[in-house]
Amino acid sequence: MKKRIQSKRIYRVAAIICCLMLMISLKTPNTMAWLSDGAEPVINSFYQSRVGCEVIQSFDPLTNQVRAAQIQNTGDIPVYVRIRLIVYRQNGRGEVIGGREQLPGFSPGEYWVRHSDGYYYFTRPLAPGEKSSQLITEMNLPVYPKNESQALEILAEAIQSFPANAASDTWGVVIMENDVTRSQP
Amino acid sequence: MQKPIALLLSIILSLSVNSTLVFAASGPAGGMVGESAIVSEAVADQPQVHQISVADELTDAPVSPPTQDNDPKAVQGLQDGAALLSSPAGRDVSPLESSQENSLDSEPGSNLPTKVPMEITVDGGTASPTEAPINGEVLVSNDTTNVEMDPKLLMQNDPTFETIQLPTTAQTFADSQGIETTQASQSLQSFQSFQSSASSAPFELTKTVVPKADGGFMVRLEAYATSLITAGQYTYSPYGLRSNQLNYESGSNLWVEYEMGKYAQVTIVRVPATTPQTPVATTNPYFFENRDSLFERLPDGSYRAVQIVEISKNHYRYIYQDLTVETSGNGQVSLPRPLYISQHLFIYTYLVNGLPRELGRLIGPNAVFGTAFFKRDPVSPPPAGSFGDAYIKDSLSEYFAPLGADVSRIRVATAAYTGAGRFGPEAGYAGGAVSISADGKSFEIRGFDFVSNYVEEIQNPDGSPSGRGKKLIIEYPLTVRPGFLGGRSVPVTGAVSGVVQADAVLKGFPAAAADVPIPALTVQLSPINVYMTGSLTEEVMEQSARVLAGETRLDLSKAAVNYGLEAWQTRFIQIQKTLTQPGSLSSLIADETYHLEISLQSSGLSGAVKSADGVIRVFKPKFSFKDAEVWTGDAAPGQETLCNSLVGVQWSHGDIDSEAGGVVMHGQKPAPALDFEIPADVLENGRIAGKQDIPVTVRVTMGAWQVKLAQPAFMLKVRTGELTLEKTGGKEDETYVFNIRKDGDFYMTVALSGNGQMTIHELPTGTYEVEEEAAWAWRNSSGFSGLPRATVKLTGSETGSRATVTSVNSAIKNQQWLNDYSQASRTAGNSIPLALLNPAWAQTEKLEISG
Repeated sequence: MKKRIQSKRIYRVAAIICCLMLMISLKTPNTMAWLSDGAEPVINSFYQSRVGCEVIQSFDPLTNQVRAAQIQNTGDIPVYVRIRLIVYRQNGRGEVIGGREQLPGFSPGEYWVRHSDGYYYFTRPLAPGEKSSQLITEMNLPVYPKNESQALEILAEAIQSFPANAASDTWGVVIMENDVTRSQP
Repeated sequence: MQKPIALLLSIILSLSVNSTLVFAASGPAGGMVGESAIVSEAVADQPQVHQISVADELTDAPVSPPTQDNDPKAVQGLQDGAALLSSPAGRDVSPLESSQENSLDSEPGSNLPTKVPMEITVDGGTASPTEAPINGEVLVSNDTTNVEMDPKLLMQNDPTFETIQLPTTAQTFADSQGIETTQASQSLQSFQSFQSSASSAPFELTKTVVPKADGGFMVRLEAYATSLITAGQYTYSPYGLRSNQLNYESGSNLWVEYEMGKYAQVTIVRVPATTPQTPVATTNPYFFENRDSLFERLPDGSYRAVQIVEISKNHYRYIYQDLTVETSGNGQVSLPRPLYISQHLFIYTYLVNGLPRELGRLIGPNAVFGTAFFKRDPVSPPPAGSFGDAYIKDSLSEYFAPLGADVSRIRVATAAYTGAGRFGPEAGYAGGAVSISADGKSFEIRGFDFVSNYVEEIQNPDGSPSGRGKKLIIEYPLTVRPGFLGGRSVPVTGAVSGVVQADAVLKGFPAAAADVPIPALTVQLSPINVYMTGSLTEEVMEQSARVLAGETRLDLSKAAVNYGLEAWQTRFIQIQKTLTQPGSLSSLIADETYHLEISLQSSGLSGAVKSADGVIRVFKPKFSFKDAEVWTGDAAPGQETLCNSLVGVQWSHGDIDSEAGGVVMHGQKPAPALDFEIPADVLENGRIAGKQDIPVTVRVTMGAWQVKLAQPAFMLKVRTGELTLEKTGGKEDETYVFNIRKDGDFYMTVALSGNGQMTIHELPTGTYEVEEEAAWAWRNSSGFSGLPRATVKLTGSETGSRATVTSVNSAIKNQQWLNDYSQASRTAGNSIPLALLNPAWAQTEKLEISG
């Protein structure tokens, strides 16, 4: 797996170099002309990779049912994503109120694994713009009286998927296909 | 040895003399009387041989009645003496007959005593008797053991005698009169009663009471004097026995024989001849200051001490006014005139229009006898001019109102006596001075001369009956004293009512009474207010009653003490109250009624009866509670704490509050028992678990009763704490997760974005530990004031229930990799979409709402 990732990087670097050479070759006449007349300045542009993610979810207030919750890679590089599900109670005014709440049961979607640290990991990197599968396809939030309700807060974090040790260094896990293990110290 | 013989002869002679005396006393002719007297005296003196010569001499003397016959006082004295007369043979001599005959039949001058001095020689002396002997007229003995006086004997055949108990003299009386204390042992009261009875005779008094239409009365008094007006009094006076026999012996002893074999021994203080006593005369026969003195009766009726001169040893000369008796040695001499030896007698005298007249006397020296003997004087016309200052006094009993100061309310009139028990028409009388006492309870009418107006039957010249004198008529109105409740036969007279002289009631008006109507009754029963389950007493019901008899309040609670009235107010009535009370007077829980009936009765008079129904109002409690606060997480409040929510208990009956003015409650306010109850489902391990207000039910128990209350009685307002979390040093696009433990156990997890803050509401009290989830915020180091976790304790108070903890990001631990945190996507169940509640969220999140 690692090898595959590394080979991809090599290809990408090679492709970038080729592209740069091609661009340089296309500019050559002008430059030559400038050279003949004087050489024109060369502008090198560098773009920082951006990691981003968003939670996309669907909720049916009539049934108090969360029907969809997925992550989209809004960055420009592939990322791994994980989700922290937080449940708490809120009153009718939408205020967070104290109390012990249990996360309603649900069946994580494909490639979603709940690790022992309580986070849900999507075990495949998401390409930029790619959406994960649905973590939650059906979750019934409990019904409380007095306008109290259980709030489900979905926190998502994305981290660059390459190099692979980014996730292990930061999250302490090793993400594999459909599996997440604790990274070795 | 001479004395026994003489005595024996005297006995024999006295029997003969007595027989003669009887004849003489009853004989109509004065001459006969005088003759008999002389004979009798001669016979009486038979025991003394030498007395025969005296008799012979007397035969030549002019016949004359007893010396005292001429003078009324002498007559009186004779009567007095005769009243005590008793013959040795037991045959009483009527003193009345004797005295009257002596008095009425004697011609003026014919009864003057012989003034010829006579000298009787006894053992060489002489005597000149001039008075008829009245042997045994006075029975006196110094030796009480030898005195045998039989009152019945004295009174026999003489209705004018009466006996009374000896006047008992108090010590003062005894002292003032010189009586031996031991002999003054009887009560003065009996003496006074006799005095009173004796003084009630001379007036005729009537008193009538007539009711008026206005409810009052008119009192009418009528008074007039009869022919005899008597005011009596006792006097203690020395009196003398008298005897025509004088016994003497050597030395200082004199004695007289008053009865066969009985003697009164008299000790006489003799004076030497060189210092002759000046005879002392007095017009009062009963007041000789010197005891045991000899005195004589003078022709004018007065008495004078006999002068005793000691001529030589055992030789004395008794100098009378007109005779001289000398004695020497031992012997006995019959005297021509009685020799009076003063003794001490109780004498009752009465006043006839102010002049003393003896009514009777007590015989006996020193009053040692248990019985006194009195003889009443015959009725005599009163002299005019006495008792002029007698007046009418009348007083009102306590049952009637004072008269007031207006004397015109007392009408005074007179009516002339026309004879045969009839009076003429009334005529106004202006001569009487009417005065009303300052208190208005008595009045006096002075100025009417009862003496000159005394009423008497007379005859007209033609022999037809007529009368003289006037009666005094007094009329005055009576009004019932306020507060008096009436009754039958109510006395109208106060302490003094009658004819009065010198502050002494000569005779009282007869008792008069009036039937005073019983006033109408008013019975009002005020409602009795009691607390529910309270008790009531009969006394309370009585206190609530307002009973008026007329305008007089009857306090039923003081029935045992005459209903709070004074004795005079109810003296003639009987008050009855009948109280019909509810079945039970305890544990009252509903209104009740009672019935009260009052009656005022006086036998023979229309009474008053009134009844009324009363209400017992049971006041019931109204409990007021206030809500209380509790803090979620705190221990459930106990009964005592919950009881603080009891604001008060209002007792009311309908709209009537027990605390309202004028409302009088009876009995102690009950103390209801309150039991508070909190639903079990709001508690968790004995602590307030919920955050919703808690209804509290209260069960009220009053004795055996439970009070229904609207439930819940009050609410426990549940308060909660707040914990604010804030992040400093964070990045705006990062989220931070915090785990919160409460009391050591995981409690909840929350998240913050950037350097934001959030407040967790509705937290129960307890100890909270806040710790940031480092696995999520891996890039930075953070802590709470340098500590990995913050610990706060929320308590059930306004300030202690809030806390803020701040998580500060410090050094960056890892900046090697790129990552990104999404915005927190929040979804709340059972509520409207969060986006609608918080538009900010909608802007920052992509929230798809399906359906």
